[in-house]
Amino acid sequence: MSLLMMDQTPEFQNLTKEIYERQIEKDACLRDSLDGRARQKMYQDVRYNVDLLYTALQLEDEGIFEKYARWLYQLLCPLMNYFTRERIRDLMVDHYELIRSCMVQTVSEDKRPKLHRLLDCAIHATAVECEQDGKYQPAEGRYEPEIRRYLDTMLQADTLGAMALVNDYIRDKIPVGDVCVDIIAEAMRRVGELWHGHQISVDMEHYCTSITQMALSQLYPLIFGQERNGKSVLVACIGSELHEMGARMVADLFEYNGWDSIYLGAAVPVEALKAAVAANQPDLVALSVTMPQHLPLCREAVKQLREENFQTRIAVGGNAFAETDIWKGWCIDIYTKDARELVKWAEDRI
Amino acid sequence: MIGYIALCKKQGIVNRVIRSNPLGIINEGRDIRLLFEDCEQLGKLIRQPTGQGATLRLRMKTEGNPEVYVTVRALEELRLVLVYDAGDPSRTPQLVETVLSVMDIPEVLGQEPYGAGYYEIQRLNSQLINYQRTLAKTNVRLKALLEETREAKSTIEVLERDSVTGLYLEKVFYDRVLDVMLRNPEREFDMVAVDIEQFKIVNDAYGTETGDRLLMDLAGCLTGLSIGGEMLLTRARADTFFALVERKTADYPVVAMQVGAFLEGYPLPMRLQARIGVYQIDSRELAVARMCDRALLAANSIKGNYSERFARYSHVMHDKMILEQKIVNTMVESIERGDFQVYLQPKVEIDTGAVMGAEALVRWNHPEFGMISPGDFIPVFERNGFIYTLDLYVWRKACAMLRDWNNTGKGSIHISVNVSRTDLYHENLPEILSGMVREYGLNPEELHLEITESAYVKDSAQLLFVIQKLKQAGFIIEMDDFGSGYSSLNTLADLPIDVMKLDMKFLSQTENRERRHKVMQLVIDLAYNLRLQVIAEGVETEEQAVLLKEMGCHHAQGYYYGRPMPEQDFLSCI
Repeated sequence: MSLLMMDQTPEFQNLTKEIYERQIEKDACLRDSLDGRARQKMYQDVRYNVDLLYTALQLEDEGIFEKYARWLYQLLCPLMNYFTRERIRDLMVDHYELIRSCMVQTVSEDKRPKLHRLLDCAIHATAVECEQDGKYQPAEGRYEPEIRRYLDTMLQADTLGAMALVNDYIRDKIPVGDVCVDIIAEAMRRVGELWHGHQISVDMEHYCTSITQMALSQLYPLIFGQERNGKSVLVACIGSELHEMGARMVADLFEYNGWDSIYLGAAVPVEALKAAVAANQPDLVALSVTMPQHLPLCREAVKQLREENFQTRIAVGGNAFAETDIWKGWCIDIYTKDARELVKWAEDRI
Repeated sequence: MIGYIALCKKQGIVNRVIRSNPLGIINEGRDIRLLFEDCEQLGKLIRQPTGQGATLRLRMKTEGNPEVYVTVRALEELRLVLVYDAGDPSRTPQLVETVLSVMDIPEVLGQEPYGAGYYEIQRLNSQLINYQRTLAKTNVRLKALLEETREAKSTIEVLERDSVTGLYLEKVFYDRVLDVMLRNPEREFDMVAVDIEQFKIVNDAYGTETGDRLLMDLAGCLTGLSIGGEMLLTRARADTFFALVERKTADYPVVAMQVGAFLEGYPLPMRLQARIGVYQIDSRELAVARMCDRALLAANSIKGNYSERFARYSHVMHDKMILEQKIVNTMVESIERGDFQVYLQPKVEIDTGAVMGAEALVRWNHPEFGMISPGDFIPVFERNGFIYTLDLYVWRKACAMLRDWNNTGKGSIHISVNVSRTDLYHENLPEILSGMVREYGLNPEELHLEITESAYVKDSAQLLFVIQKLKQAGFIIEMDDFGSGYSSLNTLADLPIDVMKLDMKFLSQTENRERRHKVMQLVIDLAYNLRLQVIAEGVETEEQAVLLKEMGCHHAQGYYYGRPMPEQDFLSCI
């Protein structure tokens, strides 16, 4: 997961190291059985947890860490199926308590009360998740048959079939926005769920991403061939994101509605973003964040864009914002869950 | 205790260290054989596919050169290499535990954990899709741009065209001409002007729509002319067309014929004719507009000449134009200075040779250009209206002569002066002339007024009115140049004239000589029947004089009797 890591402050770097070392120390079995690579992996897992904690602290949003705790618990259950759900809960609680005790030595005192609260939330959420044993069941929408068919085709590694399906949907007069958002994006969300549920490998998940990108690229002549309306949108992913399909889809839907899109892709540094906005003077800047750790960077990007006084609207979106309202405190013009909503808003306001 | 477990390649390179006690025995990427003194023996073992495992006892090169067991087991393409020695037998269980821990590692044979390369592939994949997206977008934009360019091109084409004829606008034509000449430095070109005679009448009589229709159809005719090679066409203004044609491909008499045939057959109840002027482009330095001017100058040189339909530009035309300009520039100061001189040409009785009168003719003795022929300056003055000023000057001079003659007892001789067509448009002309003869103490019948027949043809009602008033005022009206243009029975019937001047050129033409004589005879008879005096003009030979006498014409004027001369010379001949 190295590419998904954020830069840690020295304080939290120490925290990570402390947790990792104590975990090894505590468990003689772990100490002996882990080779160099496994240790590195373990260190990264610890670091990932600390990153999320740090993010939640920075954004002062308990929801982010709570959501992560639930997600992590559900991720581990199928992964460690040789343990009971209760045992996994206890392991996680032990881990959160370990973090708690480690931070006393590494983190400055003023931050600790907030971190305590975040850890309390995580422990509580893990317990609730254990009791509920409820797996998320997606609501079945009007395109359920199309979603399933596309998902099945991908999971059978039928590249040509998946590409043909997207064309079929367009031919069957399903609106482009619906094909992108209701069918493809939903199918990809379910791919993520399947990986999370340890039902498919990360390889398969990445294959699905690749094939979907290719399938969608077939729509480019249609998308770019629409009449121009003279307006422009700049779309970028914040942080070292690999998840750029959602952002690209936003750019594509704007193009389909006649906007000119400047798509910067993933891992755009704030300086580069500012330079691109200055050069292109877009009517709208749309920033996408998938992994919550990059939310602080997104907040920083928004802040700096505002400081430059660009005459542009700013929108944020992406999975990292789901079920949170942290963006409310930011100086943005709009957050939408659905790319189509954003396009509609932009069409009305700009 | 020494316990080292690693996965190696068949060549001995360490692929992955699984356990190393003590740490760092040999790291990944190095050759495991280098650890031992007898590296060859180990090398042989590693190369073999030792399915069940095989063991050697080898001495290490490390400090103390300890002897160790080396067990190798093939795992597909890789080799699991165990290097171990318990040393103290009590540590054997620990050694066994270390070996067994290998079993806990699922990845020993399974998938490799994802290294940076794996994510780099993901990143590259996204990058490729983004490139594809950019290419697709650019492609669509280029197509749109191409389409826009096509549209813009056709818009420009429309903007460059005259809306009536669809031909190039004048300015665009100029640019195109330059372009064609630049591209073809070795080829020779002509500039051709085509102008419709009396086009204004088409608009006036049949409406602008019909006029435009004619221009459009003529444009079609010109476009379709059988001129080989490249031809550029424009309608510069009103009814003036210009064409650039390649000299060697153009046959102008044929072109003139084709245009003529087109206009003759054109369904309008009026006679349509075009005049065509050709300028051979001999200097490419000349501005295109000047080339057009020259072609038009050539075309205008045959204006009103209904037999010539085509003329080439010559430098004479240019000189003439320059001369005209000089005439215009200097005419006022010349008349003030008295450069214009009134000459008199005798009119005689053929029988007796006695001088009965004189025609006053103007001569321009220009201090700079010398004698300028009336043929050069009269048409110019007629066009710019200066003729009235000049005519007034001549009339006054003639009146002054008559007064002097009366005073010196030579009173029986009259002088005829020319009255230009444009003079007749001055409504107070009769008053002016009456006033003048009164001023000089003359009788009106002493001053004869010569009016050109063609003057009457053009605007008969107005002229008839003025001529009648002049006649009532007592002046003698002479019809000049009868028989040289379109002679009309109407003129004879309507105009209250006293004298008919017949032009001898009518007789001097060689064809149909017999018939011409008969016509002449008839006109002379007719004049007598109408009680008109007949004077033959342009009599140059004795034969002509004899002939006229036979025909019953009693008066004549011409070189045979005397050239135009200064007053003093005239007085000495009578």
